Amino acid sequence: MRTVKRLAVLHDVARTVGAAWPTRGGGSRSGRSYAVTLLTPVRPESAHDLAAHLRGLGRGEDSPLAKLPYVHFARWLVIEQLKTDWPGAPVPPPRLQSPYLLFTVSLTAPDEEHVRRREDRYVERLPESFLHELRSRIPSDVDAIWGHCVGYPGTGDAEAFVHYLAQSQIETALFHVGYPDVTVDEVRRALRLREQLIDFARDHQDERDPSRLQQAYLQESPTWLPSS
Amino acid sequence: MASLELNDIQGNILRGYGFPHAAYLFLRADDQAGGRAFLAETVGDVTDAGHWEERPATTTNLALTCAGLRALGAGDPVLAALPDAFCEPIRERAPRVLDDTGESAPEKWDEGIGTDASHILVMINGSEGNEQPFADAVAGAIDRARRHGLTLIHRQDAHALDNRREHFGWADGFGQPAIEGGIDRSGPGQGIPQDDGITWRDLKPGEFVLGYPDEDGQTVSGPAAWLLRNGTFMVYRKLRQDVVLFRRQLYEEAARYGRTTGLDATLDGDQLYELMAAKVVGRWRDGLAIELADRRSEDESRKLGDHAQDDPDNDFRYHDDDGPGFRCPKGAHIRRTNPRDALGWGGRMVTRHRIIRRGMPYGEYLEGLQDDGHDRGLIFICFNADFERQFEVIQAQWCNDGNAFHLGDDKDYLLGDNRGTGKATIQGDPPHFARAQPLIVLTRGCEYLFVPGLSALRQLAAA
Amino acid sequence: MSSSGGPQGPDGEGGTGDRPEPGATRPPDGRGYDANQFGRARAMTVFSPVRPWYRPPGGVLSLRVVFTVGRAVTGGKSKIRQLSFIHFARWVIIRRFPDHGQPRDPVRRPLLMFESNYNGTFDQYIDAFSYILTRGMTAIWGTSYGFPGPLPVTPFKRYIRGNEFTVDHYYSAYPAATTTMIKSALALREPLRAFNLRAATLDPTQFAAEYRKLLTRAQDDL
Repeated sequence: MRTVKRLAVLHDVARTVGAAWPTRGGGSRSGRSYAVTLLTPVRPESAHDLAAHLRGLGRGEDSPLAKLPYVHFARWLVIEQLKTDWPGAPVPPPRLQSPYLLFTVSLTAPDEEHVRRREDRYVERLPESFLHELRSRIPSDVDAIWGHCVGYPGTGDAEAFVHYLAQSQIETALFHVGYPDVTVDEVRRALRLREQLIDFARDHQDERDPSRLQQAYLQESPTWLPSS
Repeated sequence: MASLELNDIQGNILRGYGFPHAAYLFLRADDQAGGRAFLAETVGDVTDAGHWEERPATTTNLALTCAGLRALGAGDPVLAALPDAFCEPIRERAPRVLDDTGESAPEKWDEGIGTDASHILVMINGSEGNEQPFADAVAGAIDRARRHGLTLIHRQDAHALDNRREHFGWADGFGQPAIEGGIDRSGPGQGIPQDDGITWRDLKPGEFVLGYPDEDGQTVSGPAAWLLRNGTFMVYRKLRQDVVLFRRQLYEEAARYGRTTGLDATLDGDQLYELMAAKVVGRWRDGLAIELADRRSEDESRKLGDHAQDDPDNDFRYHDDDGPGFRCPKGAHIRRTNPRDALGWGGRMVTRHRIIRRGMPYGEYLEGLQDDGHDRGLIFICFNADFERQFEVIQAQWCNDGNAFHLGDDKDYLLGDNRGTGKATIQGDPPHFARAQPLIVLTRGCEYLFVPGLSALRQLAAA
Repeated sequence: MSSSGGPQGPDGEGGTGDRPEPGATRPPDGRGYDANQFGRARAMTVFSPVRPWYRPPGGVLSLRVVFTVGRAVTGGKSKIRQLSFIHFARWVIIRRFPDHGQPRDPVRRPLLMFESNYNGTFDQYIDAFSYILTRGMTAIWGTSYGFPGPLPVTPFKRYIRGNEFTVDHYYSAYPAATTTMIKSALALREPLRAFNLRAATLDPTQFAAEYRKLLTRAQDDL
């Protein structure tokens, strides 16, 4: 009896481990959220210019990334060389032959349709669909950045562009998502809703008359919640 | 456990003198030789933490800014080893880190404070009944400074109010951290909560005095070690309080609170005021923690301004019995400044963010609701081993922000909400959303200083 | 009346506004104070070289096992989720750098990349990782060269700082919001929706009572 139990436990463990083992896209995806990590070699003589260009980009809603609707967080970082000046660093230290551009994105797709093709449940659409979006939404920004990179084909040819960046993708081993399966749009709307409710609650703290309270609420709350 | 070298540590760090008179003299050393000579002559007067056979009439303590250390010739290798927070000009740091913006911005600060001209701070305290010796000591220090070619760039006088009050009307100074090897009396609740839910542990001295192991087992080393040993870092902030605005707003808010909760049926305006006051601070005005007593009798309530708790019970926690904050609101001042176990994990995330406070009110006490246009407030002073980890976390992360307590943008009601959500939630059934007020506390000066040990001072003074 | 002049409201995909963020600290490369920060969002990017399998507990395979277990346990009530100041974080194992036809980069050692988007200070972040995710930290960074262990925390911070990079461009879709605010906002949607469905149909007294109940239940999210 105990052996059977043990086998059952082992079986469960094996199934859990098997399901969680990073397969193609497995580690990079968590529900409808996806972690894109791209590393592209930068032409050494261009590295400074690229870094300066990135630092000069507009921030927040002026960032080119603001035009990508599913992106929660993203960063660009030029790695000129690996850091080796710390105790315990390996000898010889790992060195890069060229600088690299790191681009990471945390995004959440709005529905399953964006995640996989309807006809074939197992074909992942991410990250290809995201890479297509980069090209279609912010082509000149993308050219200005990846134009500094070795082998970059430009945004002219969609297939070549997507292929280049897909080849640059590194699989994520562990992706932690603080708020699973909500899009940027949903987050923004929820934040606005919260703020409006707080303002209403604070401003009507003193309302003693229930019908006036109700009236005020019915009048104001439709502006908080877009009908959906 | 290393015992503390009390005769080398300045007295005001480990001991709350409890003296009612104080003077803070900010001096500029116009030349290195003069500055050092001044130090050499003063160090003999500096009060250390050693045992007092009898209480002195006055005490003297010394602190230095980074600009001061530079002016005194501490040398680049030493200065480079000092923390960024200490060396950055405070007029640049304070707006960015401490949110001293708008009416609290450095442009509005008192003349001289927080500038490159501020080098040496001489702190003189006078005990009860010793006004003349105190005045003499202050005059003596000013004269000595002049003789050595130093300039007095800013002087601040302060004096204690009756019943341990600060100007908003609270008995203050409770809940100091309990330190291993410390000399001030301390009781349960002042240290670190232990996992048994009952006992408390004293904090490692290195959290407050450099040169001793801190809670992470670290101690000082490097080119500045000789200077840092037995010293500590000090925050000096002049906080102007608008007493009338505060009281008026609190009365109105208390009335609203009475209506929200229905307590206006049983409590009158004054009683509601006292309850509201206890809710926003976390202590009743006489010092008793609201966590220990969520109501006071009518009789007690009327007398809260007249006396201070001698030795208020500090033995309380928040997490298990008051997680939701129905007794002591989650954003109450003392819950923000010392969350105890409120952040979970048994209090582990609070241990390294404690400070010792030695402030003193300045200006005359004002009764009632008529403003007299005079300047009054608090000279806030605290000691810590690390500005960024201790004072700045409390100020920036816990008072000027609500995120740590899941309170979003809500700021500490007591310190004033310059630019936040404008609310402070009093948790309950139903909750009450108090309107948080701007401009009740304004910063009128800030300095980051270093309080050296006596041998370090002597070494610095040696030409 | 909406809060004015505060940190950018939720629609404020806008800039940092004129409010300096609480406790901004200088990032490791000595650049400006806000380089690794945008609004209240902070970026951390760390690369560390992984020890080979014959120097235990090194090896990419061990790491893969650790992360597989990690993925199985970082759901629901896991500790990392309770440390509710992390928006999104990831660990990436880099075996080789994509070279696109240029001479193959002989980075002999695999790299472990860690990136996080979080709130609060760097120190508080590492403190939390050290004190609360102690075993996780040991399991993950234990495979990297020079890892001093999660406790005491000071050498660990120095190690991370030594391997940390400053970003050149950092983007957040809602820079004024913290993770707990977002979670609260999301938690409010359903109760509010349910309340709104009934709001018009109730008589005033019932409305007032239900409204009060709504606020009482939701107060921790407001």
